[in-house]
Formats: sequence, C-alpha cells, structure tokens
Amino acid sequence: MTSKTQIQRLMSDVQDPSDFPQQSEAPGLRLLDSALRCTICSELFDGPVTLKCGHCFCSLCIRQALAEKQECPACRESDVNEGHLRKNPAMEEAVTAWKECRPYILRILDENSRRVQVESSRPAKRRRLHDESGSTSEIICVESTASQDSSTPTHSEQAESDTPNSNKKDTQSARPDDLIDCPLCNKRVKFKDINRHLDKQCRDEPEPVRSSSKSQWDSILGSKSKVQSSNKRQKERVLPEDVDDSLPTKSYDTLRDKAIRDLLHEHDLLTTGDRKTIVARHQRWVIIYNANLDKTHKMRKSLTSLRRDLRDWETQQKNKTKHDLPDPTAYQIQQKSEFDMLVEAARPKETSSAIRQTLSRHGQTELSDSSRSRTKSLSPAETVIIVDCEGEI
Amino acid sequence: MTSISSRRLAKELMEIKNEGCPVGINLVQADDFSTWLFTIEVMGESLYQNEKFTLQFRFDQQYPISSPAVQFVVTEGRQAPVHPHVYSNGHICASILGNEWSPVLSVIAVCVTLQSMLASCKEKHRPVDNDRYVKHAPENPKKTRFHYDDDTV
Repeated sequence: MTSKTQIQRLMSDVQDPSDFPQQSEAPGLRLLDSALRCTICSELFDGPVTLKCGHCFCSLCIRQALAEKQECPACRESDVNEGHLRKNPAMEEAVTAWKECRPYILRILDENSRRVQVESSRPAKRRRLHDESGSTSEIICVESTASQDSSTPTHSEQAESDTPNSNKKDTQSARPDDLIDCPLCNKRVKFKDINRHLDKQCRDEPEPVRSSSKSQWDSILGSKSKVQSSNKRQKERVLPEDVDDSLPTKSYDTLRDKAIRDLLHEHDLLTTGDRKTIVARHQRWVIIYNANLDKTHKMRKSLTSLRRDLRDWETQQKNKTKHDLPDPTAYQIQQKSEFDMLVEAARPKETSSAIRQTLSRHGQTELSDSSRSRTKSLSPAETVIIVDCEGEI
Repeated sequence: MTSISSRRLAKELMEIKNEGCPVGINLVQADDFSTWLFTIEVMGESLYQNEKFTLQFRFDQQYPISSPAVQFVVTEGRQAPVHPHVYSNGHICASILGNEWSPVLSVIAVCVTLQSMLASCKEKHRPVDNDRYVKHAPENPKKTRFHYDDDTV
C-alpha cells in the first residue's frame, strides 16, 4: 500500500496539461500538452506507435493492452494485434522537442505572470511610459518578421513606411549601393542589403547561402549520405545488440518448461522460478524488447537497462503479493477457525459425517455471516473453492 | 521506481483536484493509490431523487491495463441502489467494469457511466438472481464472470 507521504511526493511532481494556464489565457498550450500524451499512461508519448484506426499510444502501453484484449482502447476497433502497430517517428520527434521546450515555456510563463504582478503594483504614470517603449519595440519586431519571407518591393516599402521618420528620409533618396543606417543597430549597411540585414535581426552572417547550397549539392551527389550510412554501419558493428528484428510472441502452451528456459537463456535472463513465473517473465521481456524497437535508435535503451527494467517489474509483482498479506501471523489467528475447519475437512481418516459436524459447529459459532451462509451447504469439493478465494484475497 | 499505475492515478487525482468532479459526483477519500471512495447522486428527474450512494474503487498494480474493482459500499448504513444491474451486496454488473474495460477509461469516466446507468433506470428492482448471487459472490466483484445481456443501459 502506498503511504500518504508517497502520494504527496508523487502528486507534487506530476506533470500534466494543467501546468499551463487555461485556454483563455494561453490558447492551445494545454491542448498541445494533452495531445502529446498517451491516453493509457497519461505520460508524454514514449516510443509512439499507431494502430490501423489511427490512434496513437506508447508502444509499451498498447502492447500490454493488446496482450489483454485485441482491440483499440480508444475506438474499440477489433481484430488488431501487435502486427498492426506502426512506428510514428514524426510524433516521437514532436514529443522530443516538446519535452525540451516545456520547461522553457513554463519558465517564460512564470516570469511573465510575475512581471504583470510587478507592473500592476507600479504607479500608473510609469506604467504608461513602459507601455510606450514596449510599443516601439513591437513595431520593429513586426516589421522585421513581416519582411522575413521575401524582399519584394511591396514588402520593402512597407518596412520603410514603418521605420521611424529619420530613416525614412534617408532611405527614400538612397540608391542600391548607398550606405544607410540600420534602424535597429545603427550599423551602416548597403541599401540593397538592408532588408536581408533586418531579416537576420542585424546579425550578418557571411555567406550562409553558399554553405547551405554546398550541403544541398552534397546531398544530391550523395557524398554525405554515403558517409552517414557508413557511419551507421560502423555503429551497428560496435553495438551488436542493436538489431531491428522484433521478437515473435510464443504460444507457451505448446512449449515445455525447458524450451521456455532456453528462450530466457538466449537473452541472458533469469531462468529460475516455476512455469507461471518464467512464462510471465518471457512475455514481459518480449513486450519491453519490442516496445524498445519502436523508438528511434537514439532513444533506445540498452539491453542491460531493459534487463534491469524486467527485474524491477518482477520485484514489483512480488511486492504486490506481499502487500496483500501484511501480517501473516495476525491473519492466521484471525482466520484460525476457518483454517482449522479446512484442516479437519482435509483429513482422510475422518468420516464424512464427522466433517459435516465440524463444518456446522464452526459455521454456527465463529464464522461471520457471509461465510456461514456459504459453509452451511458445503461439500468437501466446495471447500477447495474457498481455499482458492482466501488465498487470492 | 514508481509504478505506471500510481503515476497514472496521481495524474487522475491531480485532474480531479484542478478541475473538480462532474455534477453529482464527489471525491470522498483518496489517501492512497489502492482504494478511493466517491459519492454519487443522480441529478435531475430520476427514480433515485434525493438518494446518495457511495462508490468504492480498488486498484491493482496493472491499472489501467486491468480494470479497477468497482462496487457500491453497503456497510455503515450505506445502501446500494435498487437497480436491475446492482446486487444488494454492492456488486455491479456493467460491461465496462468487466470485459469492455478499456485502459483509456478513467475513474471519472466510470463514475459518469454509472451515474447515467442509474439515471436511465425505468423500474427499481434487484437483479433476478440477486439472492443466489449474493450468497456465493466472491469478495472482489472482478472475480465474478458476469453475463451481459442488456444493451439498453
């Protein structure tokens, strides 16, 4: 059972769409955050895959869900299985980028709201002053972004008409090769280059075009891609575990224990435990192994850490059964009457009439209402059913 | 390492705390990630006017892949609603709690479904096999294999 402190700790580091302000304040941010989350685990997509109906989930989540039931959890489209899963690298990229900028956006929002608070506490006059300076900078901003896409005559005219008067005068009479002051940084720039200069936000990078065209040529001629693919091949040789073949699901019913242990041994996994344990272990391994393959190479975990995940998962499963019976001794004392009754009933020496006596005696004296109604009509065969129930509670 | 189930439940709880429950549903207790209690009442005109029921959710480590165990609380003076799909021990025969469970469903989604199940009730009576079932019912309703035959609800 989870303790109260643990629940509080978990709650405090929960990340969810409500980290962002409401739709009216920050349009789309909450929606964006929730759109990039898996509807099964509510986390940002981890190795997103798409089913044939188009619904997207974390690979690990949907593989677990499909192991239970072969339908899309969102729209209940039936007859879907692991074979229908398709990687969604575009979504993966979007999530990676979002993970990176999420804290940044949250910080900006936080700073913004703090500034608004500070400003509203200032006297009115000073605030107006601030607004004015803010609005000029806004004009420049708008102008520089507006002229970003091209430098057509209409655009340059617009940009000119927006710039402060002094510059306007300057530029009206200028010829293409004349040097004029940049309205932003006051640097002397050739008139024909002023738009590009503004587009670059006053940072003139020498010959950016040529370098990009070079890389374009490279990609056309294939020199770079050849380098890349050889790099990749090299990487594959370095990491032999980095194969793309997913593991097939096995029908364990047709396999002997030894065959299952061999399967586990193939992947350097523990081979101890009873049949149920090793089957569960191998099933889980296939799921996390295949889910890992649905990620891009860069995001994949190593086999060692996958094995660690598997171990963690197994300890968690074990903990769960332990939690069900926090104090076995107390449970034994509490359930003594029922245990005694079962022991009596299981003794082969006793006659069936003796069993019936024992049952009815216990049923009348010590058992709770609900179990009495059950035990009264018991035959020895039904007693076994009770054992099952109690064991699972 | 915290399990997927508690992380998911933490998010659900967060959402409930931030946005509140739908009308007629109230969170009573969520001290841990194993048992939650809600009260549920049917709003507007229905056969359950002015009745309030307590709904218990129990989660295991496999949540949300496996469904939560959901039932009405019938101890300490609380009653299960009289409804053709609700047994007097609080167990509920509803497909979304059994074989129609989907991991994209949430605690609130289940509450809303059960609320509308009550709201659409035409006649108050117990399931036909109530006595037989209650006599032999397992403690956990998830261990019962219900047969779902009524599509109208």
